[in-house]
Amino acid sequence: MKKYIITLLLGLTGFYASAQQSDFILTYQMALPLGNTSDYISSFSGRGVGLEWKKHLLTTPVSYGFSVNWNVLYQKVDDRYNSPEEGIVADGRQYRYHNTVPILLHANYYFNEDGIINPFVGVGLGTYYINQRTSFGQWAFIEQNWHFGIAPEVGVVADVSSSFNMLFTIRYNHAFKAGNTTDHSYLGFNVGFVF
Amino acid sequence: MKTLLLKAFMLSSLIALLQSCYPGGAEYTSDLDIAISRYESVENLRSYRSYYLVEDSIAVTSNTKDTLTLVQQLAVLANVDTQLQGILELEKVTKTELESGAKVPDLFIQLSQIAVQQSGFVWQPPYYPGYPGWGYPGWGYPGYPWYGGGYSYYSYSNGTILFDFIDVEQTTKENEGIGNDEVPTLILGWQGALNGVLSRANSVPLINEGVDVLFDQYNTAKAGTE
Repeated sequence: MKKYIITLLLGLTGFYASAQQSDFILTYQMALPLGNTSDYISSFSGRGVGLEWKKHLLTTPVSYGFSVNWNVLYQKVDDRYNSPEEGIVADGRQYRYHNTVPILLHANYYFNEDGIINPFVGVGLGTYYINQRTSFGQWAFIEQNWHFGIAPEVGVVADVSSSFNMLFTIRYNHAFKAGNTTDHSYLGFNVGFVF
Repeated sequence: MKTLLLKAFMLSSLIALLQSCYPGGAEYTSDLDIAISRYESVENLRSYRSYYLVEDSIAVTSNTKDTLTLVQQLAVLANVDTQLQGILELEKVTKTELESGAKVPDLFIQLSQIAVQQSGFVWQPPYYPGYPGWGYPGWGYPGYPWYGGGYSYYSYSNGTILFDFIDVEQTTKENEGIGNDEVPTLILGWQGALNGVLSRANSVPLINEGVDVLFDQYNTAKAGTE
């Protein structure tokens, strides 16, 4: 029994020691729609939030981690809908919503890990849950899908305080085609606190 | 512990900020007004030259009293008649010409109005008037400028005016040889709908604006390009 307790204590100590190398990050996220996403909603969005957990390797300036994010794109559109194929012409206000939830695994490489300003490059891989809704009159057209996606990013970690650091990143999010829907992409501008 | 509290505070602040900024959509019933038209064939639209309009009244399908009065109906019909000749450049066939058989129109045009009463309760959280609303009965109902929280009762009439352009030649062919007691099949060359226009005091100018939009759609469809 005693040896189990010692093993458990050692394990907990190890966990605590490794936890010192971990970062917890909260980000405020802005998004610039690109490509097909921009055709649907072209407005820049200031509605986004992200949570990220990162663990740094001790011997190399590399970290790996996991993040969950939420970005909301929105636009009011008064354009005429004209489809000769369907034989439909329509006028009215459209309310377009595009909710994206990227759930990603990350790997980052740091260039100046001990410095006050620490630039890095990284890549995220994972899934993008996308829910796109167009409200028109009293009807709504909804598309929702899980997409496979990739998110390369560049950023800087700034050592601004003893209790937390600041993070600034630009992340290109690309969700590949899924089901009958097109691919989606946007450029994310993230500002965060690293604890 | 202090860091944990800081994390929790920042996380909840960010989520609250995002949620309160979530776009709310339609604010007024007018935001839900739409004009929509359908057609089968561009070639047929281009071939129509003349029309006969039912000018006595607009047919009613309704579960409310929020439909147009006869005076309003006649005002709408007079405008429709003018714009059929103006915007669509169609030639009018009068009732006398139709009944005497002197002229056969390409289109037989009839308007109808449908009004349905919508009502219910919604609960509005007190802290933010633009919040999308919990307990909201589905999406798409109009928001109201509530201030403060609590339950609100809403009631409005959601009405549509339909414009049926019946293709006389195709309808005649389709119904050749049918008996007098059989219901004929009507072939629509074009159909327009103004949805939401019976919502607000049945404004004739508002409906007339909608007529202009619908007939402009007709011309867009005739052009045949996106």
